[in-house]
Amino acid sequence: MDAMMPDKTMMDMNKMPAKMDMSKMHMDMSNMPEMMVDLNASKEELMRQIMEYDFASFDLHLYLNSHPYDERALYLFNNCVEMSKKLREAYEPIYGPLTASASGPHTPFRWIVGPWPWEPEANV
Amino acid sequence: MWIYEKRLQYPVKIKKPDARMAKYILSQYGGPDGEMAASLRYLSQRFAMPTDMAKGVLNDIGTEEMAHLEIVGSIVYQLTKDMTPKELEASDYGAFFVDHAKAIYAANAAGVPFSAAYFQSKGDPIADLTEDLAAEQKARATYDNILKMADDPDVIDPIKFLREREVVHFQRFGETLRQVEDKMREKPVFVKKPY
Repeated sequence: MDAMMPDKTMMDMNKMPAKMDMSKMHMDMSNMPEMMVDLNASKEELMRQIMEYDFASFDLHLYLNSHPYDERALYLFNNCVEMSKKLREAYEPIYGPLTASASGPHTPFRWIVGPWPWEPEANV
Repeated sequence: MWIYEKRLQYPVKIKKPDARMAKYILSQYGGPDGEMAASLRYLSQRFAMPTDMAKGVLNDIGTEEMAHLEIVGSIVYQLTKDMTPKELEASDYGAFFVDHAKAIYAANAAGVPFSAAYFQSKGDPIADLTEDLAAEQKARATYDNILKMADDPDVIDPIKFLREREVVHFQRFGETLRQVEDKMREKPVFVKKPY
């Protein structure tokens, strides 16, 4: 339990911990994976983190569909979603939108600017 | 990659069952000019497109077609869900019922299963975009045929929305074709061969 509480050394700007308000939780919090993000990382590293947290949250999503009362999985799911949101907020203004709605106010419409995901330049 | 949004792009709320109409509308699910063919056509063709505009237009219209596929499936589902097997049989839905009950299956109005042969992915942007223009008109014509037979406003309303989207897509494909042609005219050869 203690190992899962936010460590003060994690509280700097670069490495933000997952929200960990566990006061109302009574599930088994042992061996909970540590979640943090590096928001000052390179483009490739930011994308790698987005893919990691999005894949984790989607895998948890599938699991939760058939285990809708699993508090532990739901807690992890919500944290992954939160991590991904932070990472997108860091990535999109600099490197371009991941969804059209994040295109921003300037023309030309940034959404259609390549490379597109199926092109090698978009994959590292 | 894709994420799913838990809503229809346009609402479907049908009160009156009508299996005969459902069978006709099912053709826009898995028929030759239906939404499944449209979506798979654009999402397959986008890989070989030469401009960012063409890639984006095919990607996004192909995505919208998936939302239309869902609307068509919802219409067919709501039109048949409260009918008994005997009622379905009396509405000419018996042959479909024996194989699929009240499920949604990708077939045309005559029950012929969906086929990828309904569309091309030629690797030639002029050929592909010209096919896409025709596809939108064929889908629009199919919705017109459905509207000629439909009399329930609950059915007519979402079908009219889908018909209107075909017209909008036709416009966007026309603009995209023009941009691709202009770009190719800048080069000595009309069509750039990939080999």
